[in-house]
Amino acid sequence: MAHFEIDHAGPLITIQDKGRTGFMRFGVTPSGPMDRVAYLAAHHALGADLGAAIEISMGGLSISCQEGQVSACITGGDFKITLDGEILPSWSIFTLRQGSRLQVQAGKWGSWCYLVFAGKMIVPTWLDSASTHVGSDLCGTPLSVGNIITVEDCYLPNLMAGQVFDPKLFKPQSQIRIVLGPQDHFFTSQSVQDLQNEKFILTKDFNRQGVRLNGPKLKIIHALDMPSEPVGRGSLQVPGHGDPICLLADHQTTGGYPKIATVISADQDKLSQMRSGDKIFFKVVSVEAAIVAAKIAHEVEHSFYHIIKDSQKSLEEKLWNSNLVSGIVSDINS
Amino acid sequence: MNIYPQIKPIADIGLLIEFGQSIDISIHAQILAMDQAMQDASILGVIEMIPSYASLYVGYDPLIIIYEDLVLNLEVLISEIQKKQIKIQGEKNHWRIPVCYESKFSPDLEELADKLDLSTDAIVTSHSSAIYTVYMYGFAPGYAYLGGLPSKIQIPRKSIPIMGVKPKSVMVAGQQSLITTVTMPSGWWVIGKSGINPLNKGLEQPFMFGVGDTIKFEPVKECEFVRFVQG
Repeated sequence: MAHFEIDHAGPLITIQDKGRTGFMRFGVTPSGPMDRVAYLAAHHALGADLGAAIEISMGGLSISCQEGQVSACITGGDFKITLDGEILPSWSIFTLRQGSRLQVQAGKWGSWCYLVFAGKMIVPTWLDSASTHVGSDLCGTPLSVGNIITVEDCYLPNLMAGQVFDPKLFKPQSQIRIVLGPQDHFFTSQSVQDLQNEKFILTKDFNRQGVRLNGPKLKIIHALDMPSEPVGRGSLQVPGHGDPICLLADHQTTGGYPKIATVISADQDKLSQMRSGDKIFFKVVSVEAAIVAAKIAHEVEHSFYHIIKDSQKSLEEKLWNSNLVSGIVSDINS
Repeated sequence: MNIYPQIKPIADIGLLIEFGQSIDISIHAQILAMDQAMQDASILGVIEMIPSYASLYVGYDPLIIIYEDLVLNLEVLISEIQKKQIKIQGEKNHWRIPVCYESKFSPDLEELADKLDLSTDAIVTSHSSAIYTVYMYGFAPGYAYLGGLPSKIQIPRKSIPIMGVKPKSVMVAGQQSLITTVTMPSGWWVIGKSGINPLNKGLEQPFMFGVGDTIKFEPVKECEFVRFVQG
């Protein structure tokens, strides 16, 4: 067993696991990690069963180990990790011992990273998930200074401490793919064109529910009164102000604003890792192309998890693997 | 000309089957029938269905079923439910919910009476005599949107939401009524307090109402209400 005390916690730092699937019909948001690929990567790196992680925002987190020892991994974005004064590369495995102090701060890029322990974090669950839903407080609240984190069944895997993967491959690019609809026909044709041809900037209105984008104002042809309908992650809903809001992990389950398009699943987590001020160009694709992209993303992620598992081998092999994945990714993007 | 139902994709994660564009019990009945038909069919790759006022959302896993094949499956089900007289197979429950409308629990009742030019008693009588249908859930966990609010007590929501509306508040806005389950901001008008929270976090099935269930509010006095809540 290991105990940690939180010495510093920025806003929106929560416990997240796979999320709460299948309860949207009762108004329950799925929640789960903002960057599901990074969340899974940390577990694969540790060879751990999928469980709860601490999702760290750009506000940063500091914890000190009061008792026990356990290995851990941080993945996602390119955050600055400091362990007892020593700076570790992002996406690292390390071991925390009594008296250790771990600091995680916003780094070169990325909005969210994941701290996963080689053990079982003791957290409340609801509907088979430990994910905190910010707002309803039905399963915990964001972490704050003084909170104690307890990890049971700690182990120290026989792994090489250090970087498990160079994250630069995952740095989001500005192109984000969308499928138009379901209400694109409510918008002026100029607005549908603007969505595809003009630049949009992520604003500071960015949390786990969604991010407001700023670009050309998207105009509705005539005032409409549509009854509320279910909404999914990635939906670009457009309230009266004309700025699209991209719905993210903690989105409400229904909404009455028209949705001009939806970000495809393969690009949703990339968008979540962008920061306010970053620019986006939307590219419209067909549903069929979106499904192909989902399948390719799935394949790439799986070979990537495999490589991460193998990353405990020699540096030479690591470099070779990294080049291999670069090759796969550049083939797909070309 | 019948342009509905229409199937519209939501990227590669879901689709929407639109049965109309308005809040209407006959449209909603088709959604319930389709929801039921899909539960019975349990198509491989379908993750969940979300019924709402005028459409049914279907979430799917594109690694298991592709959009085109899912649509073919759904078209078969749609034609089946259209051929049959629409009958919902599943049990729909009728609930009687005790509500205390006394001033202590109804902060917005006086203002609502002013705006509607009705007495507070008339509002309470009207609200508690109607039979409501659970059309959908939304906004927050366990928030069931109840259609069937009498037209004479319909009013748009407040222009500015109030922070921290407590659980078990009975509210009205537009054509709907609702019982809150968690503390949330809301722009709806609070006219009473329910004796029951329709969300019970501790239960295996934490949500009291099914979509399609009917509800009637029974006015109770504060003294009865306290007894009810206690025992």
